[in-house]
Amino acid sequence: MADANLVSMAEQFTGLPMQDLIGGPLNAAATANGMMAVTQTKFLLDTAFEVKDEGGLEIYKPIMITMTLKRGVIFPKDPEVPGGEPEIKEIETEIGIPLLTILPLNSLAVDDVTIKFDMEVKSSFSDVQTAKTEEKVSKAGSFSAKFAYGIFSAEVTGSVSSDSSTASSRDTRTEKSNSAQYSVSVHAGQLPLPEGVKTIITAYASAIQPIMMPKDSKTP
Amino acid sequence: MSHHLSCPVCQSQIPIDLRLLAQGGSFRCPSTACQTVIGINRNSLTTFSGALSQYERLEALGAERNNRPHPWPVK
Repeated sequence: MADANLVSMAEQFTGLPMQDLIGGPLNAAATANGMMAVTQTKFLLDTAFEVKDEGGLEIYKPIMITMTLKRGVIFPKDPEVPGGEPEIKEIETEIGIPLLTILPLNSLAVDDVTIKFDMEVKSSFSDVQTAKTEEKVSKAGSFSAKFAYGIFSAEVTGSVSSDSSTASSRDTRTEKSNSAQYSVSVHAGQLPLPEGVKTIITAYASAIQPIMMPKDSKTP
Repeated sequence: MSHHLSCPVCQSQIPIDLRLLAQGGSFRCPSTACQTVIGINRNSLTTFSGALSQYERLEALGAERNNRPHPWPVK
């Protein structure tokens, strides 16, 4: 049962700018990502491409780098002997690949945003009731009487006293506390490579695959 | 800085370290049947290491931006 003396937790969370609290950092991350994407695009165009002016048109041509590829190839020891003993020779091949395909694209992005917002509302209520009653009654009385009849006289004196004390004490202490915690966690993951970039990279990658030379062709 | 490159022979993913690659290191294809070794030709080392340095600068810039504290827009 809600206590009127304690603050309402729901009331404390009402009116909080939750949209700003959660959306603000996410927006900032998204803006940073957007800026990084623009910077990355500029970086790729500047670094991985060379601009050539062809008939008034700016043509971006990928900068190629040469890679060496070493692999073992089985050759017959003596080519003149059919079915002869084979041997493995290490053949070194040079292949040209675009610089674009070897740079880690799209890895510069905010991949994890955690917003932890803890709000603690503590409400405590203490009620101390003290009741003390003290009663003290004190009574005192005296009397004196004199009688005279002829030659006889008598005197009577007396005193009465009464003392009474009553004390009572009552101490009641009530303490109540109330707390609440609110936590929000938001995760923003990394987006995969755009399909267009994937296609370009796949095209480049497939272009570097070795092609079998026809048997009847002459060595250049 | 780890990265993967598709093997031109068997299409397996060859794990490479870009910094080592820029220093002239070579990497072997993990496929036991292939064992192809790839590396960058000496003639292209300057081009590649230059591009990698620029990339690292860009990465550092991104990390700096991401670590910047954001002022809470509490009204």
